[in-house]
Amino acid sequence: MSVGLGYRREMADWDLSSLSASFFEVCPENWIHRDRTRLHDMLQTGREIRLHGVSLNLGGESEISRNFLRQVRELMSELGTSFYSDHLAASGDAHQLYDLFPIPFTRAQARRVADRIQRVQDQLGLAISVENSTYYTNVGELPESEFLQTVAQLADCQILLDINNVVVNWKNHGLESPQAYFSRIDFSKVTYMHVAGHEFNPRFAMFIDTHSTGVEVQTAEWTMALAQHHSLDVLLEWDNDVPDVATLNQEMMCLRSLTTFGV
Amino acid sequence: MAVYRHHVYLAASHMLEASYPALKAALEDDAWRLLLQDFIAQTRWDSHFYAELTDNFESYLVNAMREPLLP
Repeated sequence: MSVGLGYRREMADWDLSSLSASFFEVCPENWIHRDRTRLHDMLQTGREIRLHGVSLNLGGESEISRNFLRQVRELMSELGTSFYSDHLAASGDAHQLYDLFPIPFTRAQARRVADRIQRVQDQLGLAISVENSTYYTNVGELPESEFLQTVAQLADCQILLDINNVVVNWKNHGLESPQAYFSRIDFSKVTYMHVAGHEFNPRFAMFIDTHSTGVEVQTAEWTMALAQHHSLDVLLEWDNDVPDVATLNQEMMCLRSLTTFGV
Repeated sequence: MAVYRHHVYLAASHMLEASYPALKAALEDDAWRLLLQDFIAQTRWDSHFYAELTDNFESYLVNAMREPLLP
């Protein structure tokens, strides 16, 4: 069980050895067409890199690009990672919107999306993880956790469990408490977990998954208890208003301190 | 829904602000916002690569400059 960090372009000039992350996560869409010296510098520090994508559009309708998947597979080989995840959401068909739109929580949609995930996995030749996303409005007969479980079971894929998203959805919609959600998840399918901060936006009267602040104490406690119980890694996402090295290290240290081992 | 409209705008504005700081600085806030809103409404992009939004933006600007000015 270890604590990693989502790598952001704001960190491009930082001394990587100053970051206490045990592993890094990068967005493949930001690196496939770019110079990847920085990624190899990361690997040189002895820490692994995992891929977490944003544009696969698993919830969409349009065909998933085989060329893009081939490029992701090549990047995985180059970096020596078996971890590739994307979101259980739609990001646009004719129009890639670089945002995550909810999939209706229905059995029919779970079947349809699971088929798409299976096609992705068949082409990549490995299992991917799908991440539960925040949603600001949605419909469907299933609780979110059951939708996620059903998709993972039908697709035979894994789950990247974002604890912050569970909390944000609970605060916004009040439909499924985090404890109830966690109790319905098959943790043998979870590869690792994400944590991040969120903020209340008075304009929309909603909590928004901003990744722009530290992790809420209760969220951190739930996450690290689950991490310890199920021997899972945790990744800190701080994507906007990225603070300095000391603050990020402090945040990772706080997470580690919440386990009895203090790893 | 307003929050999703806002997020689509933010996704475009983060990339374009970072890529065209001089243009952003030269425009009043309202003009920048209207420019981006029009870009989002007029453009369809399908690249997996977020950074390539700048290619679409430059094509949009070239096309926009070809159009006759309103009286």
